[in-house]
Amino acid sequence: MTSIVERTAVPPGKANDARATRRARARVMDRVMTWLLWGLTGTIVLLLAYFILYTLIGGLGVISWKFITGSNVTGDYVGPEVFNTFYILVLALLICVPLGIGGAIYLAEYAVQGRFTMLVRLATETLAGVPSLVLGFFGYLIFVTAYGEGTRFGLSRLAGALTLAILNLPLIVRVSEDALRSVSTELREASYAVGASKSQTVFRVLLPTALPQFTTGIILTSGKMIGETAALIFTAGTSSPVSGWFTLNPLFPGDTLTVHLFELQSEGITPNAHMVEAGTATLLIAFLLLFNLGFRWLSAAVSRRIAGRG
Amino acid sequence: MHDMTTHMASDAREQQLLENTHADGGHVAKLSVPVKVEAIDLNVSYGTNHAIKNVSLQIPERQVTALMGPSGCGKSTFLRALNRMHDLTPSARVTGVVTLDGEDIFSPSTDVVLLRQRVGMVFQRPNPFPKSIFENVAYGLRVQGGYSKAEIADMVERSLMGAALWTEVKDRLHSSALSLSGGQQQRLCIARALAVEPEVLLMDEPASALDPIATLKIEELIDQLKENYTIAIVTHNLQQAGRVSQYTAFFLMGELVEFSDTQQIFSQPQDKRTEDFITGRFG
Repeated sequence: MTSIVERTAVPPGKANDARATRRARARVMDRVMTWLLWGLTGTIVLLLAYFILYTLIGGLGVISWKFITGSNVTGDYVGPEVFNTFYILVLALLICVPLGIGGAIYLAEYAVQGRFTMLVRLATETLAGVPSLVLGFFGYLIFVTAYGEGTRFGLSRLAGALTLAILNLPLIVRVSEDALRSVSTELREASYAVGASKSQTVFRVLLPTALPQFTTGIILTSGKMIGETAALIFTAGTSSPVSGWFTLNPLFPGDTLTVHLFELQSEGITPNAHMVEAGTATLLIAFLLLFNLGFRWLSAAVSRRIAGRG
Repeated sequence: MHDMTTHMASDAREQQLLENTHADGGHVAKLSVPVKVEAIDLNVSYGTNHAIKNVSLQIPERQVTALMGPSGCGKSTFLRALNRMHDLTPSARVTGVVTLDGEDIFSPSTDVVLLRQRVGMVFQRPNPFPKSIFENVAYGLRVQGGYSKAEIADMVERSLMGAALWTEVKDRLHSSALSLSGGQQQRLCIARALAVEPEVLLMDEPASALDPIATLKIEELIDQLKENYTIAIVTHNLQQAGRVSQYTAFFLMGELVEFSDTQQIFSQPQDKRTEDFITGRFG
């Protein structure tokens, strides 16, 4: 406080004037930047709101219990697609998450940092950059047909899930490795200091501590998996049988909601394609939201159990 | 274990031991009381940084020994050699001998897990696990395995009592440890170290992140703990060293400058550098 008073009490001079101009300019600049950033954020929010409202207004009217669970030849109802979306998602996560977190544990805790880990990181990063369409072809060759000769799993949910798992492995490894590395050295030392071994430290301290970040990684991955289309077209197929689709057989073919959306656009079989598309899109958004919230809730519940109440 | 090479190694070590008693620095007192931990010609370096230089020091049994010195003098590095915490730092290189009850802790036959159970550690910043209060204290017992539920509950209670925390937390053992205050968290960490029934407690500036009242509690606790445990405490705080310890070692730039009983070092320091530090000329 006193310093401000002192400064204003200094008699006006050249240096003082320069300082005052500088302060005034800084104030204006502050205001301009605030408005600019506010405007940018506002634009993003508006775009998003427009997009969601547009989808919901078109789609909410279409959605009914029958729309979500029924199936017919023309594809007016998306029962099989809803089922396949979740089936393939769960299957892909079951393959991808243990592999990814396992790999992350190895990279972060066990591997001696050097040429080999650099190679592994380079490989994962390259894999992350491969277009999903290309991986779809890869999945087709390896999982659907056996290198183009004969069939392995055929067009199937299993082939789709395996391809999705490979596609998302880099993301899971990356997020999980970062999560493990972010656990403080102090917690590791605390564990070793009471005589815990390395594996005990990893499984009893590091994994529970990093759980919230693992969850974030799984949510991100799930979102990508629910939205994935290109990799599935060649592996899980673009259609579901009208009856008999409600089965846990992984070797059954099955299109997901996004693949269905793609098919509706590109083929003229469904007379009211526009409405079905809007309904499908609305369902996708709803599922993404539910999945996100559900996983967060689950993670919070598990964390509470580990960390104790309060 | 009893093959030729280990015999030769231990002979070499004994030789080293003898040489050191002769080459001892002028101001490092030899103890006439029972010695629990002894460092002989200990060197620690991180890459090219030689953090501890030829330090030989005896830590007396069931006493508090303060390791004192300005920041960066190597006192924490020395402490962390005593339970082989440097094993976790790939760049750290340790040479020399540290004995616990006369046994070399760096010998290949030493079980480092067992060593760390015998030599517990409390860190500068309270570092409870994000688990419940109970599970924090039980952790060391759980990783050892082989205890019944009742035994664990019993030892958790005794450890919390030992760390003077029981009355404050006995009604909320299953609350998160992170809900405790900083001072309580640090006493929880002491309880966690006590639960595995160590013989030695290494404390690395255990009160430096705490307020004065919490610090006082920790210091009182240290005073009680010395009845049953051998304690080595790192501090850069002169007053604290004076208050809690019976013996004091003064470190400067990786070297042990002076070691003797606390009263002596504070009233009649033998080395000019110790005197400068104690009179507040630097540090």
